[in-house]
Amino acid sequence: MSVGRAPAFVTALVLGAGVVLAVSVVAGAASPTVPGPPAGPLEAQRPTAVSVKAATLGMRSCSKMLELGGSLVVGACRERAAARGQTGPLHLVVAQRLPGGAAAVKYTGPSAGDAYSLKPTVFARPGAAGPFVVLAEAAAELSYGIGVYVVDGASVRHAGDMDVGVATDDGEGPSSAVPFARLEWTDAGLCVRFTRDLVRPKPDGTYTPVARDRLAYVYASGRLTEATSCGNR
Amino acid sequence: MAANWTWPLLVNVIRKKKVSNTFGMVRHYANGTPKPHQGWDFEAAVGTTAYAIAGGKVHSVKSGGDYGHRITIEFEHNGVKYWAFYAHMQHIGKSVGDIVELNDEIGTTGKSGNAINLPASEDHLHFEIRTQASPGMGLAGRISPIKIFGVCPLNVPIAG
Repeated sequence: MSVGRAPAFVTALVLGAGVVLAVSVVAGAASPTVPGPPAGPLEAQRPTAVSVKAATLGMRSCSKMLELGGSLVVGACRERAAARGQTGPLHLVVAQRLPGGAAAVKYTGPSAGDAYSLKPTVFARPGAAGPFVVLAEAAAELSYGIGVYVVDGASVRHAGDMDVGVATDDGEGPSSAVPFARLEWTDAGLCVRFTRDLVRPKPDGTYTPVARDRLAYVYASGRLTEATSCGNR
Repeated sequence: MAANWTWPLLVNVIRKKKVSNTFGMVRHYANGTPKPHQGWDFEAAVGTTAYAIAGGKVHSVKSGGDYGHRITIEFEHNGVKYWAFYAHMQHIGKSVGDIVELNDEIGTTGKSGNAINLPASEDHLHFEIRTQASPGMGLAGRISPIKIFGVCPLNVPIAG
């Protein structure tokens, strides 16, 4: 039985279901090839964060974008809503900065769906040498997983997604696994492994644990695939 | 029979009237992969007063992480113990161990945690009903709030 309180005004509402097309532009060859940088680990970068005018990217808003060298920047931008009262989804965007805070889109990643946030972390070989790898973690109240992007000059490729997270200290979540990701270029391609035990989603909305040494991801021949380790695909 | 529960806000309606803001595998990621939503999102401008849905005891008050400021209240409903969980709060005016009465003001809604990235039109209270004090990940240890409220205010706001 409900206990009523004083009536109050009702906020005006507009239905907002939005399936919005993501515009994906991949520069470079149609048949992907893995860039071939020297083998070795990648380091998380701390790029300078800059503001760009989202409208010049055709977006509603953008977080501060991270410099990738040259005039390229990467960040999360929210698409304009398809209709009044709706909210557009987030996308990872790589853009070229132009004078006056403007920017030109080089790449727009797929929609992050219902995610509230999309946080890019940039990795590169020592000395910030390219190609760059961007791990973009999408989340709402819990992590939705990590998108993997390879930025090699003007070529940007969505390698795939890693649908993993980590338990929070109080056993909830999952939260982002990006802080525990270790990346390296190997002879086989790009390898991502983790220094903390992971969890993976089950169809019923719960999660199952995966030991940190039982799951890695390898990007080679244009595909991101699961492996048990960086040396054993 | 005395009423033993109420709604968490004065006006209760699911955010944007979207099913994706109710309980279950209702959310989606980039490639269409279903994702869980552990509770209901009620529309609530930042600073909206939130109320205890039942008399009980404050089990936890925490900050940070994806949920932001959050409070859990232990209560009993039809002889069964549950935990009401309020997240993305702006301010919480109760402390662990406090006894709360039905309809007590417990704080104000906000956009802490990951909700900070949402536009103002999406401001909300994330509200869960938990069957365990420490429920685990995703939907584990949680039930749809409709099990308590009996109705979901998906299309029509309900006054609390």
